[in-house]
Amino acid sequence: MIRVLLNLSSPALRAGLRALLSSDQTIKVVNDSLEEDDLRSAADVVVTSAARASLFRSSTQLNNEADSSSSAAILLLGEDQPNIQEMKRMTRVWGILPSDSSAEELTAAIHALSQGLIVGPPTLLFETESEPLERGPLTERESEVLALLARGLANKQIALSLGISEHTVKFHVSSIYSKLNVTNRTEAVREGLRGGWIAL
Amino acid sequence: MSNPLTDFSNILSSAAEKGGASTILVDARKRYPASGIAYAEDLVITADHVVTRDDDSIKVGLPDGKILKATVAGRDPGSDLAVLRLAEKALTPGKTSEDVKVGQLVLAVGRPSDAGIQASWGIVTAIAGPTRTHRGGMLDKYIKTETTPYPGFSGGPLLNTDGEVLGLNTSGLSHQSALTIPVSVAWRVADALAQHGSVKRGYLGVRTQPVEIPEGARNALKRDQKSGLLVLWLEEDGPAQKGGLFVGDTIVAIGGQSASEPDDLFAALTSETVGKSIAVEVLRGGRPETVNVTVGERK
Repeated sequence: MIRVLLNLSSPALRAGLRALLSSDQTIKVVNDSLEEDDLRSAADVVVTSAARASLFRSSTQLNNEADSSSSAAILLLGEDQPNIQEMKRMTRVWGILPSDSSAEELTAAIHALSQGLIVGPPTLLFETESEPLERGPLTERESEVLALLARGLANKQIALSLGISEHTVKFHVSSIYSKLNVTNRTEAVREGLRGGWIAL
Repeated sequence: MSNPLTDFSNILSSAAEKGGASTILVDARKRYPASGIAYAEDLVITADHVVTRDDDSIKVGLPDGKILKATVAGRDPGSDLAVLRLAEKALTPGKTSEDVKVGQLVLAVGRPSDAGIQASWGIVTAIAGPTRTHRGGMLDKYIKTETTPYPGFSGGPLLNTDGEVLGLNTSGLSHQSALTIPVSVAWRVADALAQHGSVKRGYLGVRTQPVEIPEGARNALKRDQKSGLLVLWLEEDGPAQKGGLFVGDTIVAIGGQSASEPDDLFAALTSETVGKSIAVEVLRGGRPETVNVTVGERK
């Protein structure tokens, strides 16, 4: 028996999911049987929404809990564009499914998670494969621009070096700032180096 | 009896005059000319950011008022240095000194117009580095002073009270204040620029992330540092891979200097290391090992 906790704020969504999962006799929704505090440690899989999942990201209590008593894998629902980076930031989020997933997809995902597997749509897995220890969140061109920033080149010199216009360089630089959450070249290079995205 | 203040003043004006003899007007950008320093009889070292015009319109003004054409011999945006070449040997390089101390009295001199030199004075407030500049590049060492960086002073010299050049002033490396690139750094870069047109940078072919070193491993290392650099990626057939580094190694030192941050690695890979073997100390499976890597050149 796989014990599933539906950690969702909307009663309608909870009821809907409960109905979808009821077709599988090996899955038991444990929401009503326990107090909130006991729930997570009693569940094998926690199904939650992207909004509520932010709790799993920030709460030290949950992190500690996940490390010690709870071994529940978390299935995240409702991400329009599943993102491996997002998944990595959260404790024990091993699965992401779009909110329009079918009952078959949902039950298959819960079975897989209970076996300790990682679950996600092909776009997610594809992203995992190509993902970037090599370049982090940056595109190939942005990585090239960042490497030249690390050498102290000005936009004009970067443009010359890559055979693109200065305007395009500015566009890439501002995109790098936004993706790395920085406001200047020094911080961008520092973040790029710390993230392991610039080869030395 | 001589007046000590007059003596002091004479020392300053004499230093400005001596240093001014090797301070050059550099007219290589729109509207605002800047300064440069005679590096050799036909070479001028200046700040890279003041050279924005094409070769055929760059001019330099000599202390005797002569105006000559110049071409770019080389530039290094990372350290904000450029070297200009004249067609004739018309310059008199001044004396340099690497002896700089915090608190020392210094003069900043510029020649931003054909009206002659300009000067300001103060003390050396700090000597520091390496640091990452606001352009993104790495500067091994810099001097901060109380001198006023008047417009067009970039590229000009910082002088001691004997009129010897201590470094090159530039406002192009920091948003907050002008900095001086010490002779020890600037002249080394200028030498490379004059010879090769660019500065070589060492390259290992690794991507790393800083990670904490567990206490047990720290004791085994006999090093006090709390973090090292976990190797995440190695370039196929790159210098580090050829040298025997593995993904998963944690680099803790390079060339005898501890490496806790990627910038430490960046700073260690100077042009002098290119083509040479360098000892890379790593933690492998919790045990310290030393791997010798022949440093490549960053392209």
